[in-house]
Amino acid sequence: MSADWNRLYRSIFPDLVRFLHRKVWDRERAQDLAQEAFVRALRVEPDQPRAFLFAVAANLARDEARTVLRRKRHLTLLKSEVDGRAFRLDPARELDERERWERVREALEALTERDRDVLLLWDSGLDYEEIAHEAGLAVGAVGTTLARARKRLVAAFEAVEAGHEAHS
Amino acid sequence: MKHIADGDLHAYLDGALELYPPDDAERIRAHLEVCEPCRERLREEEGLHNAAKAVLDAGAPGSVVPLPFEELRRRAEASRPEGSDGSGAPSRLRKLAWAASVAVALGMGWMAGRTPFASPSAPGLAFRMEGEATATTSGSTRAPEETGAIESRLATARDDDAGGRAVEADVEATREAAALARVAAAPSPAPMPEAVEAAPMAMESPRRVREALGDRSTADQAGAPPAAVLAEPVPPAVLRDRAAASWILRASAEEVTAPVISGSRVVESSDSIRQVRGRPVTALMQRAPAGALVIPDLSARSEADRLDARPMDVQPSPAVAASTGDGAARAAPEAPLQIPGLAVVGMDFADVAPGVGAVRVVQMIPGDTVHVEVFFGGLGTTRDGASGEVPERILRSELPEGVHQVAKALESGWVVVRGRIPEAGLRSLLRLLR
Repeated sequence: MSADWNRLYRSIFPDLVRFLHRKVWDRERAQDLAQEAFVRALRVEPDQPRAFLFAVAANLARDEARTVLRRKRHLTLLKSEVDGRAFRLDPARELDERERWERVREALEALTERDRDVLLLWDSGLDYEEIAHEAGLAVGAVGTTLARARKRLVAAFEAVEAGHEAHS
Repeated sequence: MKHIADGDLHAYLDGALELYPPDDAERIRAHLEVCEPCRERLREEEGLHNAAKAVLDAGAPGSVVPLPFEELRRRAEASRPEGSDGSGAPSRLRKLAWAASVAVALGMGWMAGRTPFASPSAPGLAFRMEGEATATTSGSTRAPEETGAIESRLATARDDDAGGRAVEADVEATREAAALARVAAAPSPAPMPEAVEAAPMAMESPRRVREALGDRSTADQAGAPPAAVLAEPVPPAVLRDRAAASWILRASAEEVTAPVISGSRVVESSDSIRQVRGRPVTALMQRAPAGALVIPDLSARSEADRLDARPMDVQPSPAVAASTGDGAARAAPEAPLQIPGLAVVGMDFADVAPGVGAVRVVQMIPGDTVHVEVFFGGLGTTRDGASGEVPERILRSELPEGVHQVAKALESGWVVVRGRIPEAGLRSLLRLLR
């Protein structure tokens, strides 16, 4: 069992972080929550680990949004100075990265919660069946939801970009 | 001829037609071969598909560095409650994070009906509570049927992890209280200097406790400044470690000898009455408001306790003074004894250097496992460092390997920040203190 979970961990962890990152917009926090999801999964060793992991991750992200005080700018400053992992980028690159994330975040927020979740689950590598199970949709409805979500995302992102260029 | 729906085109692009009924999948493929308008739409949707993917990639976190798997396995084992199949642990710990709550220890003297607010001063309160506490010895705790009800509610809540179902608000408070009581009762895997010993004692009237705090809450709403301890939700990173969660309760139980968390709502009184330094205490759950302050008054009371009732010049906080009706009580200068932006996970009174005591506030960077100890001396509440200079003994302290410290003299007193963080990082934290 341990070997299987080790393999699952290596294969799913990056996807889980990718999924969570678009929820919490903090790389280290996303990794932390992904680890927490795995810790919980290891405690119960569910029959469907992938589905369990993403369900727990979604709940963790939801709890995070509900309870964590948002002091992003402040915490960004702290982390950049005290967390070794944050030293990988030079300040200019990090600033660019954060500005890019901010635009994507704005665009994603233009979607309904369900459309956003379905899109992020797809982007994290889940197949239609898994997404349907996770989102409570029929498999045949996943494509429709994704089509709508993609259309809105691209339109919203273009609007955000246009607004940004107008300001600069 | 019916054209293909957008959703089916996206399923085609995502390679998901295999999950469709075979006849449907075949119909879509066949139609695409003969219908030029649909092929044109497919190309358009493919462009959209790629554009959306590019947007999502722009929001990706980059490379990730996972912890070694064995470390995760170790954490999972460490946080699995004894005798549990594991299914209950996540929920129980998560509820602690939800609670953003703290436990406040109240002396049995208060439980016996003499509220601490009747005391003219804080030290008097602390000493009287100790004396009265020893007179109370045994009794029962929560009725079995009530415990069963909590168990049932907890079982319901466990399903919440996988299913994400909402939990009713009225169940929340009871579960939080039960969860914290369990954590407190559990043996701590980490060695602690003074363990809280579970000792069932008589609990005369939890209702009276609630009533007393209810009165106090009313006073707080009337504008009394907050005199709270733990201000933020405990991050999951901390709650992975049951020892840390226990420690939170223990720190509160050791240091708080009166309901100092004003400005916060009582969630529930628990049934656990324990011995802390020989003093029976009971735990109360309170939901602390975000951004609450830690006031010097608390540290002074702690030191009085530590010094075994030696008289000191203790000044109650304005909140305490207001609640006691002691108009002559001098208000201690309030100061935020914490680094803003970091989660407070505990506080106590500790030696920062041999013979130099200080208020120690342990804080964590939310979402991380790095913690720092922030020592405050002076501020009119301790005898050391009242001159506003950092005592030489602190500057010459021998620190454990990997631990750094930075110190700063304040207008009154001093502050020292320690942690396994490079000095530059500690300095940046220190700068955040006003």
